[in-house]
Amino acid sequence: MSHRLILRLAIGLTVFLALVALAFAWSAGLRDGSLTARLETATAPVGGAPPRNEEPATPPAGIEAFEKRCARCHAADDVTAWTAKQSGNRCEALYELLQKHRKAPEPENRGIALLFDPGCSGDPHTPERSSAARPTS
Amino acid sequence: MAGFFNAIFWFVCYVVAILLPLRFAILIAPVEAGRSFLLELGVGCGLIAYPLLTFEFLLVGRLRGISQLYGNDVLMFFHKYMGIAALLFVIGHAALVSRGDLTQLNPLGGSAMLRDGNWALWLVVGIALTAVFRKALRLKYGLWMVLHSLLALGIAVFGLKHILAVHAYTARPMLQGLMVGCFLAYLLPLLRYRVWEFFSMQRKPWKVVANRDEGGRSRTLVLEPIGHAGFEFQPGQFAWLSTGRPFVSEQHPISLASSAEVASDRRIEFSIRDLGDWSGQTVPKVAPGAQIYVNGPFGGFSLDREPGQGFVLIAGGIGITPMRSMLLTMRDRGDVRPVILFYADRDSESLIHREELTRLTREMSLTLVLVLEAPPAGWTGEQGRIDAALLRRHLPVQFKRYQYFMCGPAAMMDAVEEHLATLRLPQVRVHAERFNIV
Repeated sequence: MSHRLILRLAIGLTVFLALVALAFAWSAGLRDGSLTARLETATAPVGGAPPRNEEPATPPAGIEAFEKRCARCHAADDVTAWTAKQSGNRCEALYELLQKHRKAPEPENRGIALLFDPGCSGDPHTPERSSAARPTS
Repeated sequence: MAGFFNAIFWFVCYVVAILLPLRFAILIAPVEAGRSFLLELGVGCGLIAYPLLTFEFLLVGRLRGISQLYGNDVLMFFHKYMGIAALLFVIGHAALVSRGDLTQLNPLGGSAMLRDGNWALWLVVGIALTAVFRKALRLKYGLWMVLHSLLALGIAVFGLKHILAVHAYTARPMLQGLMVGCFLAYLLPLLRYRVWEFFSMQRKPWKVVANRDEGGRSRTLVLEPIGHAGFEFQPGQFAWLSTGRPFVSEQHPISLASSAEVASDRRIEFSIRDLGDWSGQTVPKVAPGAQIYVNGPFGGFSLDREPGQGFVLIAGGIGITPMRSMLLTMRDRGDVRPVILFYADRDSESLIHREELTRLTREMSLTLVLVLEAPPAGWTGEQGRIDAALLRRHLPVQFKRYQYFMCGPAAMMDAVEEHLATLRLPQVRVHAERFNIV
């Protein structure tokens, strides 16, 4: 095979890899945006009402807790998909998973749960606050 | 055709494997919210650079399947070009992640993670410079091979240490596993090459039956296996030769010069021209009866792999050796397909195997075209260099249906490639084997 053909192939592959690296950098911004958006949705008062009997978990605390405890092994999208698959009280399932996974302070679990189920506000065992049975007011 | 699809398939696998770490990194959310685009681009460059670097060895690590599928020439060039590409990705990674702050590129300062990364960076720069400027730096081939191997090992080790110490994307076990996999893709073939193959060579020694002076500063070593059956090969392939024990002596890639229809004595031959170093100092002193070590065969430069109505062989200098092997094999097989051999050298004293080649023109369908740069008085053959006009004078009407094999010095090969391109030959019909490539 011609020397020139190999050179062209190598240049083509290098350009392709450079484009993939650019796409990776661009998609990182998108992934970052989608996580923030999910966080904002999760922390917004449900039906306009503020969460009851508790300090609202803050978005940075949720992200920080997720990054610290979960992100080493789990993608955020995977957790979202897992949460959506749960039947019944999703909030309770998520809390149970977090508690079983590692002993951690309650606010940390709450912050993470908020990221993935906006219905989780404070007491995970309150069915009417889960996303499956969200109050209208 | 199956070989072509095989080649495409494995090339696609190579590209997919390079992109795997990046693909998994994309599946993982960013480590810190709000990281800049340039920083992420730098990380992307790094995630591409490490697989590129570690897979470099797969291309030239004496893996017979790969060597026969693509041919040595293709692999060597691809290795060289992708090495340069890897250098660019490594520089891109360092420049973007350090945000252009050169003080962060000190291999002796900063955190362990940074130091390891900087060592890998400067070793990559070092390996590229010593490969591109080996002759200008007057590095002997044997010494350069050792240096190249050590630098590559340093890059693989420091690169992996750096990657595993970064608490970002590669803190994830899956990505760590992939990067360790890349390291193993380098290490395992290296162990096979440096330990298993050397051990195997040592277990199967060869005896030097004759060391013939062929004229033109060239010698032919005739070897016979000691206590084993030798090996089968395709005409045009090469083997690694070591005149001392494999673990301590340098090895040299040399084309097999004898017929692939090996006789019952299992003898093989190598013709070697004095190009300085080993070929000029050691080879002439190898005495008959001496023990020698051979690792082969390798390469895909063979007419057995390229069916054609006829063959055009273009040899420059000692590049005649694989052509001799092809011609002798065709004669021994009674192959009646036409062959045109263009054999170029500086003067008539430099031509080797001349009488044998002349004899072959009577024994098979061979046309011999000798081309001399400095012909003697009364020379009636071709003179100067091989160019398009010279080729046209000797090629038959149906020349586009022939397969073309070229072997010789890089400068001659580049020029002949250009001339063949002007004849509008399909590039897939042109096969090349360069020597002294580094």
